[in-house]
Amino acid sequence: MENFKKMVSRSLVMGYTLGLLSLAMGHAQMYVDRQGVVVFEASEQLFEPVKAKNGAVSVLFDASDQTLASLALMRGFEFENALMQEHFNENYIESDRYPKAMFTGKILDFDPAMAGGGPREYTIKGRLEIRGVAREIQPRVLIQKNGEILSLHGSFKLRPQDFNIEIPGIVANKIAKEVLVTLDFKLKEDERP
Amino acid sequence: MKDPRTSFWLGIGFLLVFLLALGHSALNPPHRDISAEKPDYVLSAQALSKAMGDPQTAMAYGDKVIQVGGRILFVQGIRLELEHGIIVILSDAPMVWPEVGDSILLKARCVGYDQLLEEVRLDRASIVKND
Repeated sequence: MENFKKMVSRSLVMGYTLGLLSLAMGHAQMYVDRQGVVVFEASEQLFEPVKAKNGAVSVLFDASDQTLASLALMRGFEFENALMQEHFNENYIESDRYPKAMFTGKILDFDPAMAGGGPREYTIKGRLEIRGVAREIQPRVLIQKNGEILSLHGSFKLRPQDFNIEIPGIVANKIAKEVLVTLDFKLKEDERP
Repeated sequence: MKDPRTSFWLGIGFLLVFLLALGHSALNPPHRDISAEKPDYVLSAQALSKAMGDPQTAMAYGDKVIQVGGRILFVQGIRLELEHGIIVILSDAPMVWPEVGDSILLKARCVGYDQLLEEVRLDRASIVKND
């Protein structure tokens, strides 16, 4: 009877410890960036730059299965020209109806444990949803781990018509047919209490 | 005495410059000064969080000026986190920096609701009152 009590007690302690360990490991494998930077540019030569930056993009990366999710609020894109920003939100994106752009995907062949040293190129395969239209994309990105920070930098091109974004004829020659999107994420463990 | 033709062309020149300046200012209006605007909604952090968590009610708050009050949970430079998942970016560095635990009243632009992190995002914020 005494041995049985000891066994149960040891099992409980071991179970508790394993539970805590798995919780701690699970927490350590999530990386977050609340201030990810996304810049897009659709400028044409000789015309005013069509460029905007969002410095408050959310990014979550689960290192256990290399899945990555990112959300950019469309009203968070800042243009130099206030009128351009208004047209972007009201006419092109319709930010009230479609307030966010969302990406979910997976970094292929990526092992965070091997990400130290210099930056290496990887492919992220996933779905980008803008204005309620989802498209498969596979951007190439450079990833580097510096201490606890996982830096992800890359760019890719999009075509507005692929997301049902209509550019009126009167400004069509002032906006590039392909939009260059640049990413700069610094993922780290959540520091909030 | 000036040549009437010179005066005419000078007048045309001034008119053109004036029209160009007018056109430029019409095409390049300044960005909104949220601190100078009257709030569209005045509510608590809890009420804002609840309203923004529902996509139907959240639509009403997009790009609107919100006056919100709540306790500060986290400060990182000009980025504050209030209770109930309200993330605020101040437009400028404040005269007196707010601290964790302060009850604060802010005026800001509502950017939207981040479903990924379940946070309400406000930017261009100014401090109305800090206790």
